[in-house]
Order: sequence, then C-alpha cells, then structure tokens
Amino acid sequence: MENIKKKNFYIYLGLSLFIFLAIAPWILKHELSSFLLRSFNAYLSIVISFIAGSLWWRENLKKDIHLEAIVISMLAFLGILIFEFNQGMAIIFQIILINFLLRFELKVIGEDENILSYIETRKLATYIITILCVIQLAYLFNPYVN
Amino acid sequence: MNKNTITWIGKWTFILAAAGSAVGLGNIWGFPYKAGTNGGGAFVLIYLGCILMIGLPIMMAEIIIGRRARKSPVNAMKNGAIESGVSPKWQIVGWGGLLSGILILSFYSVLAGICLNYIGISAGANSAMSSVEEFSQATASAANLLFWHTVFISLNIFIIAYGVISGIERVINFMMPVLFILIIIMVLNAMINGDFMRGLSFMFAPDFSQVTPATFLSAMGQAFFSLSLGMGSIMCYGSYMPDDENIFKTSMTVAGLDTLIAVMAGLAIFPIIFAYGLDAASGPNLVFVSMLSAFSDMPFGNLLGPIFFILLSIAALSSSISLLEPSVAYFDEEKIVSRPVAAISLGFIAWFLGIGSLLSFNLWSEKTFIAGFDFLGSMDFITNQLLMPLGGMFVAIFAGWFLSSKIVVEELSIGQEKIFNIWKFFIKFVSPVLVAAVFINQLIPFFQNLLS
Repeated sequence: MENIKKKNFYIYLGLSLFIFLAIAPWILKHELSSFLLRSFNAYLSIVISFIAGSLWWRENLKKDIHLEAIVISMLAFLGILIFEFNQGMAIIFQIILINFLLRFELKVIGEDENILSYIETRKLATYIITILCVIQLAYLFNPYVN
Repeated sequence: MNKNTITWIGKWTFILAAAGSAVGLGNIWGFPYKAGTNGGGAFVLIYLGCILMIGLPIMMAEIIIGRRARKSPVNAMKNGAIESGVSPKWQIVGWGGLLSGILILSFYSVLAGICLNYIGISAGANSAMSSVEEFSQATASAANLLFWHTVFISLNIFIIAYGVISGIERVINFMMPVLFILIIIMVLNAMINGDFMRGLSFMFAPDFSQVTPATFLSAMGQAFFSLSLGMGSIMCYGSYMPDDENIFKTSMTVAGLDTLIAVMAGLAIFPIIFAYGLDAASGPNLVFVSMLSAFSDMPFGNLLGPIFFILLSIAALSSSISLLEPSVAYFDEEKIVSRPVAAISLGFIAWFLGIGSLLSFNLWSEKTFIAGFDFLGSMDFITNQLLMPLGGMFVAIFAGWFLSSKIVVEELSIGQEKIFNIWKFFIKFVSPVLVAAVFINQLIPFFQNLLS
C-alpha cells in the first residue's frame, strides 16, 4: 500500500512538470516557447519509454510482453524525431501512443484490487496529459501567437 | 418532527451538488469581466481572500446547521436555535432563504430559458441577421420567452419531484461532469481560435493601480453571491451530507471548484471576444450578443455555439434546482403535501412570478416597479440586494454569536480544533461585518436613486 502511495506521488510529481511545460508557452516569451514545446515532447517520450520499460520488471504479468514494451519505447523516441519534421504530427502521435500505452498496461497488469488506486491515478494522469497535448496543439495552431 | 434520514449516496455528490448550485450564470458571465476590469490578477487575489474570509466561514456555518438538524433551512435554523438555548424565532432566517429561492428562481428561469432557446439559435445562426437583432427577436415575443421559461421550470419540477436520490443526485452526477467536459472543450476552442494570450492578460495580469476600495467591495460581493449563500440552498444540501464527510475540506473543494469554473469560463469567453474585436462586457449582453456574434463568424460556430449554450443551460439548471429544493423539502418534511405536489405548486408560483420578469423584456419594458427598476430588476433588487445579504449576515451572526460551540465541534471532524478557532473568529467578527459592507454598498445607489 505504501508502495502504491509512493508511486501515485511520483505520478503527480511528474505530472506537474507536464502542466508547467504545457502552460508556460502561453505565458512566457515566444522565443522560449519553442524550447518549451520541444521539452514537453522530449519529456513525454522519456516518460512513455520509462513506463513501457518498467513493465518488464513487474511480477505476475499475464504474458510475456518484452517485445511489445520495447516497440512502445522505440516509438516514443520516434516521436522526438517526428517533432523535428512536423510538430503537430508529433504531438498527435504522442497522444495516440500514451493512450495506447495505458490500455496496454492495464491489459498486462490485470484488475488487481491492491493496485486500484494506482490504476485510477494512471488513468487520470493519461487523460490530463492528453488534454495538455491538445493545449500544445492549440498553441501551434493559434493564429494570435507570434 | 422526525429527522430526515436521506443522505447523498455518492462520495462526491455533496461537492458536485453544492458546486452546481454555486456555479451559475452569475459567475460565468460576471466574474471574468469583474476580474478583467478591476485589476486582473490583483482582483483574483483579493477575491480568493474574500472567499476565505466571507464565503468559506458562512458556507461551513450553513452546512453545520443543516447537517446537524437534517432538516430544511426553516427547521434547521429552529433546531439550531433550540439546541443552543436561544429563541426559535431564528427560523425567520430560514423562511427568508425559502422566499429568496422562489423569487430568484422566477427570474432566473426566464434567463435560463433564453439560454435553452439559444442552443437552437446558435446552431442556425446566420450572418443575415446581427446578434443584436437575434437577441431582440428572441426577447421581443412574450410567447417565445414564456415557452422556454415553462420548459425550464418544468425541468426543475420534474427533477425535484423525483426526490433527492433518484432526482437531484442522479441528475447532478450526470450534469456536473458534462459541464466540466464542455467547459474544457470551450477553453480548448478559445486556445485554438481565440486571442488566448490577451484573454490571459486581461484576466490575470495584476494591475494594482486599478485597486480601489470599490474593488474590495466588488470582490466581497462576488465571493458572497457566487457561492449561493444566504438563501438556504447550501444549508438544505448540507442536511443530506453524510456524517463522515469533513465539512472544512468539502467547503474548500466547493469554493475551489466554483472559482475554477468561473476562471475557465473567462478563459473560454474573453479570448474569443478579443479575437473577433468585440466589446468585453458582462451579463446577458456578453453571452447572447457578443458570443453569438463570434460564433456566427467562427469555423464550426454552428457546432460550438450550441455546446456553449448547453454549458450555460446546465450551469443554470444545476443552480436552479438548489433554489427550489429548500422549499419543497420543507413542505415535504412538514407533511403539508407530498414532494411531487410541493414541487409542482412551488414551481407554479415561481413560473407565475416569472411571467412578470419575461414581460420586462417586451410589453412591460417601460414599466417601473421598485426604485425605478422594471419587474425583473425589482426581483433582482429584492433578492440579491436585500434578502440574500441579510440572510447571509444573519446566518453568520447566528453561527458566530448564538450557535452552541458544542454543536460546531461535534459537526467538524475530530482533531479540527485549530480550524474551529479560526472559523469562530471569522464567523463572529469578520464575515458579518464584510457582508454588511456589501449590503450597505449595494443599497447606496438605491437611496441615491430615491433622493434624486
């Protein structure tokens, strides 16, 4: 239980940096914004990759998921590459990937009652990050941002 | 007179219901404009201070009194007075709340009816007619206003007649998440289509040079009125709150949600207003004229417009059911009539009074009733400028000076002595004085009007 609490705390901690990186471009100077957008995308890639990677270490997994987890980690870093060519496309790609990762994780860890609070927090975090990604997209497409 | 045994089933229901009661048209179309024109971030800071000094103590007092008695506001005040060894005449405060609720519902329903009507209008908005003309057309016909007013009141009656759990709780648990999702959609829309940075700066860039004593009074008024205090709604909802819920934490969450939604409404509205070069305004003009004009020019405006007006209608409905419920609960618990009959009868009274308010838009637009106001203005004056501040002030005086501390300590969770002491100080010395200041400040223009 203590372990789950600690995990939830780290999720919220990690989430706060996402929130900062998503909101800061709207408040800070435009020159900084492109750096912040890039950081958001890179940070998201690292987090997705980390979560996918950490799945290997879980005990009592329903099936062998090493290959799928590695593919997700690789795809997360592909997001950084896509960002260099098309920022909007990269963010949409990351939205799909993070939601896919959530479904994948829930599938492999099962519906264990002991980790219900962790599952709730993970779901909430994914939805919030999805909204933050849309906020990033809005920044890219907003005609009044200069 | 038996105690009510009904309690909310869901853990979040009280919070959602109270937040639904607090989040209404007033803070969606009032708070952002007040913030923007009174120093932006400076106003928001002052407002948050006022929420802590006025809103929170009175809200806690109403919940404590309501939950202790588990009865409607009239009997809850009476119960609190008797248990504290003071005159049961304090129940008059509860009666004032019931009266306020019905009177507010009468004109609120007319405005909410216009929101319902605008769901269709905004879906088919065309550039052949300006938004001012659209508004004039919608309000010129008394029959049209009466139809939508009737629809809105009927929705209220229907929900309340079904009961606290099957009606109010079920509807609130559906409506509030929808309201939250819709407001997120509208904020995202403002981020994509609106001048979001200017909107942010309008609402949040602190300008302390604009802060005057009037700013404090405006913030105090907003903090008091936006939380639905002084009209029995929170007391009534509090009477359904389970015993194990923490009153302080719950009140903080309700106040926080109310402020969050008001801020988000501002972020959904003002970037659009600035992007389309429209005038920042407040009240009905802001949403029915300026926003409609923006939607008619916006990409997907025919879809986003209805979403916006559904959002307003939900906010209005979640508030209006809390206006009718205290009176219905009283009639029901006193076994005067059954709940459905009480809902229909009291709803009918509100509907009938609302006819005067809807006529203020057309046939009675020239007629004045109280202090030079039209019928709708007079109702607003009686409730918002007299009954509600008086209700809030007397709840604070009662809770601070007359309500037994034993009751308060028992109702607050164990280990909250510090919170009790802080609450006691504010409810005794600060909140009544500040509400009185708001009350007097609101009456000054009335007396100036009378003298001139």
